[in-house]
Amino acid sequence: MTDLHYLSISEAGALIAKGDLSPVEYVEALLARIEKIDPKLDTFLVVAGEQARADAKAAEAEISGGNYRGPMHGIPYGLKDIIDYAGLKTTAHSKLLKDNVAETDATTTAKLKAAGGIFMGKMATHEFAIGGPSFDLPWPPARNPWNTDRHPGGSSSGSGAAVAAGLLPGALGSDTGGSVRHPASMCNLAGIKPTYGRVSRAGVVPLSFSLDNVGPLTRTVADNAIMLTAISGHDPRDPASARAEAVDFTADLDKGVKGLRIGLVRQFYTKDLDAQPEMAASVDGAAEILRELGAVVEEVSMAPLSEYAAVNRVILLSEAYAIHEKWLQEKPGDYAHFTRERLMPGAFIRATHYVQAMRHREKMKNTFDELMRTYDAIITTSSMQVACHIDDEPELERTYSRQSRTPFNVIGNPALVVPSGFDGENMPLSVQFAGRAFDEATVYRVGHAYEQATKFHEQHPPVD
Amino acid sequence: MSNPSDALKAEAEAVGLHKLEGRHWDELQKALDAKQKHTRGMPDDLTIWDEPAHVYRAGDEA
Repeated sequence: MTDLHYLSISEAGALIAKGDLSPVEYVEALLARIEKIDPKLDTFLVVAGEQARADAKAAEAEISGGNYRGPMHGIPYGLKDIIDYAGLKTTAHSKLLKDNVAETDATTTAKLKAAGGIFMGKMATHEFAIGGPSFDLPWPPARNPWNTDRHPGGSSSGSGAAVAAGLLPGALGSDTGGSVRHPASMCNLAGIKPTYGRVSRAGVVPLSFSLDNVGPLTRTVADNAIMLTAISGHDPRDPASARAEAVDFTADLDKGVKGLRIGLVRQFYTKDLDAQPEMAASVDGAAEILRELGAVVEEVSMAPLSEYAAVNRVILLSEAYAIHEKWLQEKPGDYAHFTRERLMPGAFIRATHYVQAMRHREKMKNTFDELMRTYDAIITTSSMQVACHIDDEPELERTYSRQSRTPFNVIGNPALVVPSGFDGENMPLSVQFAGRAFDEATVYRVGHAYEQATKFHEQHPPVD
Repeated sequence: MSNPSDALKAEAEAVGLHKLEGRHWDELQKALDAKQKHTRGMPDDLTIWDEPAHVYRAGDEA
């Protein structure tokens, strides 16, 4: 069997379930590929090779003994290095936590273990999920497999780049202002920010308590649904965990979009920000494809992006500064340049600003809920342009806020990024679908229908 | 910025950032500019009745 590295989770899972693919063979193939490819990409902080081999053998024995646990059984995965794996360091890609060994698993880790997943290692991130890509840290930043001179998006950089390059079929990231969806957008992947409260944050290094989410990055929408099904559910260890019922997010994937009402938010990329023409055209084109598939697509408006961005940043920076204040006061030199610069505004935001932002947040949420009484899903941009050069600091700063992901962090609703083509330099374009709170199933259904109609996800980066 | 202004040093002192040095001062100036941008960028349409998100709850039944 060839090209095991680009098997989807669905494909590999089906083969494993039938006994046609050995988890041991699968893991060995990926470990060999990691050894060959990762020195160009720097996606892994730690490769857990021996652990993975042992877990693969155990999975194989269990499955051959008739105890198949489900679609994640025998499937390799990676964890952004802000997510605890008991006995291993969780560094958050920072000098400040370089010796921080996790005593217990994060709830998401425990759930992936229980589902039979094979842990492959810890993935590079922007420092504390905010400061990057940084060259002044103990580990280099991950690079984009579509062009290693480009930024892979962040902060879940290693997770995205590794999955795109076929080093892993799936990995977990976190999304506070767009950090799962950004690497998904830059690397031709599916990436979801679930509804706030859907996935436990217990055992995850916090950035912003009320905005943080954990979500999967995968090469297909169906794989994303499989991973989210495995990691979601109520968790008493997370005070914000919702008491939502467990859902199989794969159940409605093939229902199509006929009859669904979808709101197209063009204002984000034509008025509030001026998107790269290919990006804007790809989103307009996606709306047209959904129409052809039978959806009713109508242009709708939301609050200006600048307002969502301001509310997101005031909340995020206030909460993040509360976490980092002591370290920034006592050892500011231990942070990367980007991290210090991005965290320090929080020192000067007044309590009233924070409360006002939380009041706007509630209002924005209510306004969006009202819109979603008429529409089943939203379609819009994710990023306004393709990945810039990883070492071009002025361009990184200019493009940092040129995105339309933060609205869905502010209101808490689910939002999924799916590949939507390539620009003239063969860099990935993307489209974003959002939905009602706790209705990831419909978001996945729309994303899957679009993906299957276009097949952009079947293209892989020139990394071999 | 090797010689930060007295005003910038005062801003840092006021929030306990006593150990900034070298390029940290440029970063602090950018942080202050960013703070202004973010706080001024919020909408201005709240009434006195608008409640914040995530209010305190005394318990499950509250």
